[in-house]
Amino acid sequence: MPDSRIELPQGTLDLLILRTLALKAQHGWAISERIQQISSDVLQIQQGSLYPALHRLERRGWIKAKWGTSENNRRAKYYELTKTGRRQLEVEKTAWEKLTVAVAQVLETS
Amino acid sequence: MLSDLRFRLRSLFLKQRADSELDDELRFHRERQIEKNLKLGMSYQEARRQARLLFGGLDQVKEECREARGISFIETLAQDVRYALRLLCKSPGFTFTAVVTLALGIGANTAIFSVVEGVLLKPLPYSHPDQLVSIAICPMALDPTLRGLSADEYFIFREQGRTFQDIGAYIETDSDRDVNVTGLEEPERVHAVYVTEGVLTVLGTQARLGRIFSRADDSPGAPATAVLTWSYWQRRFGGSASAIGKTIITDGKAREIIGVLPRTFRFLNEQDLALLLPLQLNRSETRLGNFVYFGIGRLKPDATLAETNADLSRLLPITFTAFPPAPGFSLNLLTKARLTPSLFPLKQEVVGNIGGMLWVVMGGIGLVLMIACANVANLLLVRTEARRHELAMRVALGAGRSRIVVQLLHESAVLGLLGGIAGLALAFVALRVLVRFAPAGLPRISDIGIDLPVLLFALATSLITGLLFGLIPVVKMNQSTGSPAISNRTVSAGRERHRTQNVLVSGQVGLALILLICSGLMIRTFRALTHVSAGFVPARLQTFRVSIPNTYVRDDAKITPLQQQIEEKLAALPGVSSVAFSNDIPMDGDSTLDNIYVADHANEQGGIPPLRHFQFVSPGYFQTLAIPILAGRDFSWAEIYNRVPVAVVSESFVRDYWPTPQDALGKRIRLSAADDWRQIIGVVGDVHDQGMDRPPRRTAYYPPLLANFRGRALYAARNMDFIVRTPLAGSEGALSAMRQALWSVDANLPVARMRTMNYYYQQSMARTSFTLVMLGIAGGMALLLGIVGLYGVIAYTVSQRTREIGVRMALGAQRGNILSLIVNHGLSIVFYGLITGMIAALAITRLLSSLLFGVHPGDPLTYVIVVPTLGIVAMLACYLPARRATKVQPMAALRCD
Repeated sequence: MPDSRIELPQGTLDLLILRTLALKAQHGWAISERIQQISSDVLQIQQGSLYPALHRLERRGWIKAKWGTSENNRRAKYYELTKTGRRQLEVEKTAWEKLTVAVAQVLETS
Repeated sequence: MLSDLRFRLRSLFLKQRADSELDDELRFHRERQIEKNLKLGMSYQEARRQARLLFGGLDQVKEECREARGISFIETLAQDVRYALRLLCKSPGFTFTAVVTLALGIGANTAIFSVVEGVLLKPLPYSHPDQLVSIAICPMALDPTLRGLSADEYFIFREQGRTFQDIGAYIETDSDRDVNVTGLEEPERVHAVYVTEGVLTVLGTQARLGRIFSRADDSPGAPATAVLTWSYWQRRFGGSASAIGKTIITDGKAREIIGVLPRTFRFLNEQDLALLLPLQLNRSETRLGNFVYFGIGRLKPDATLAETNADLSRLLPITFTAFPPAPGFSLNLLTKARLTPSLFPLKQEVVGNIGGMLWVVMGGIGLVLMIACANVANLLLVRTEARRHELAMRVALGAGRSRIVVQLLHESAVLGLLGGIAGLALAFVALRVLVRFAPAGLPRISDIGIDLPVLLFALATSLITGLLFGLIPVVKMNQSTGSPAISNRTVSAGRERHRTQNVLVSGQVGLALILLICSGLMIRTFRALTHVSAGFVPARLQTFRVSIPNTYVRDDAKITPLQQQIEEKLAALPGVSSVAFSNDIPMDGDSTLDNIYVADHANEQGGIPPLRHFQFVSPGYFQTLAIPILAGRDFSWAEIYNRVPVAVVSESFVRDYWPTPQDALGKRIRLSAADDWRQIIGVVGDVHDQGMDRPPRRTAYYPPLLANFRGRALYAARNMDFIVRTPLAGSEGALSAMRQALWSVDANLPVARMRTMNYYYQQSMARTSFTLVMLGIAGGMALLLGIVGLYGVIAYTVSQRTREIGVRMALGAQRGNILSLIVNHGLSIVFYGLITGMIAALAITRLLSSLLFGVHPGDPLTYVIVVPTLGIVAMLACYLPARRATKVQPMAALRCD
């Protein structure tokens, strides 16, 4: 199983976080679980890098945090997308799609 | 950007809370992971261990989060500032020198900037000041420097102008428009200005109390009214609201006080203004060609000066048909004068041409700051060198290079700000001195002060200088590559750093040279001014003005005898050698000009005669002022009372028409076609009546009592300055004796502008002497800082090269060799400095030319004196440390490392 996991390319973590938060507000743990789950356990987020990324996104104003109660009745910090965050998600998604298409093209032709 | 800042600030101020929140957040995550692990069937111990492994170093993550939140830069700043202050406290000598040097530079600059800001940059204190314009007409064909507005133009422009919201006219205040105020406790003479009703509304001024003039107040024949300025209201009425409705008597005319203006109100450039009085121009009696008023207009928001100019050019011919010409004027004459609208922003009218002088002084002081910066940079270079060890240690302990750079910059910023604070205190003191010694008539002097823009300027200057002198050591540090010098303490000095120091010192010498040359040129100007003969002898003359309003003595025939009586009383005072009176004092800034016709010359045939200065003088005027009589004779009392039409002219007046003064005698002149011809009975020497830096004007002198003058059968000059030659001029005793003499003739006549002639003489050179003193101070500071910088660098070089010198001496070098080694090093620095300074000075002094008189910006004498002098002083600054080098004991030097 460790073999099937891949390292996240630089910058994609932000995109994944934004995408995850686009559905609903989540706390950090849920974000990491969700990404892992959806990607069928291929993408394993380095948990240590998740939180600095969240704080960075918050500073940029793309997400905002508020304290709430988790599903098991515990105090947890929830993050949600802001308007600019939603816009940023579109920008990054487009950029990512262009990148994958371009990389795929290069791989096929050579 | 803003949210970012708020976020950072929140992180900074709520640091405790943010940290505990972060703890909570991370703990939550870890607990969930443990729960998950437990569900997967791990033991509790194993579950915890795995969770921690997955998460990584907790403290590291926390630190990364904090960094991501962006606290670091403010925290870094606070840390650096604390560290810098500790460091500065530890080396008080360095700190003191640097802060004092910077304080001098920043303080001087802040002080001068507050003058520049108050006088030149600040908008006028009226609403929408950019819409305000000064309106006048210029007789281009006669004298393009003259400006004025006549009542006919005021009416037509106001009624038919398309670009104005409104315009107003006022009569320029000079001492003649002062009024005698009676009806209060004691009579006094105060400054007043006559305005049309539009003037205050154009300026957007509201009454503080009561009301301002209405159209009715300004109509001819309306009950007389007056508006007080705030300061006069305070002084004479103690700020009491009951002043409104009271009556004051100006020049014998009772006026109702209808309003008081706000405290902040300034009428253009008037100082000590007491009263505004309605001008009450009478449209039906208006005649063409009496250009004694000035106009103020407020343009419509979208109108431009050019449009207005065009519009007024269209309206000028209309005035010619709307009103009859004044006596002595003809339409033909007005057409020939080529009347042209002369419009400019009101601010220009208020500020005048003081700008050039202020910018020159500002520039000079700016150079001083650059020299101060270079000095501090040199100090820092040496210090950074000494701190190599410490810095290398910090790099070794993991500080990034950029972190060190940021720290060094923060340190110099702290130093800059300390210098700025000390400089601000200095500026505060300097400004008081500056304002006191500013040339008389420096416009808007009350607007000068340390306000927000000045504070911002001081802050910006401090930070920019901090960055400037801080950057040099940083750049140097980054250039000196790689190998951290923990172990090898500086044995021989880095050539690279020396070059920087040398360039800095060369620059200082060059800048000092520029300033010294500028000061030298100003000294030469001042000498030239004082060595030109004024045309009269200003020493030991007392003057004061006595005005006799026609509401007090109605009969013109009685005026001159009254004045003569005063003159005789004054002449009888002890010490007085001669007395005279005239309506005009040389160099007092006021004067009257008029067209003067000369009989049998071309302008007689309808051509337009040139404008000439003329004044009324009593017999004995030339003798009292010691103006030489070149031909003919002075007036006599007998011919004055017999109303014999005579005149005296100046030498330059004669030169336009006749070859010698002698030829002018017996020729005839007059002011207008309606006047009697007056025979020239004397020719006198020229007088620099507009100040020493302006050429003497061609002048015609008339007696104080004339028949058939300006359309009047008898005319007596009523506003006369008495001029008394006495060794006691200016002494309190003489002044009170003169007042008593005057009041023994008539106790109801107030005395105005009691001043010595030397006062006017010095005032006429005030701008030059002010510039001279300011540039002199700048030059002196530059010299001192430059020489100290040079001395410091040479002394430092010597201390660094002690070992080398020791080796040389051990190998047999003589003291002379060592001396010349060091001195030559210094002289090469000085040489480059002098050369670049001279080239720069040749370019820069051109900017000074408008302030120079009788000396060329490239004046060889100034260069011949200043350059070698600076060279010699610089050599001395090199010689002293060099001599110390020769005292080095070879053995001691070799042992010292």
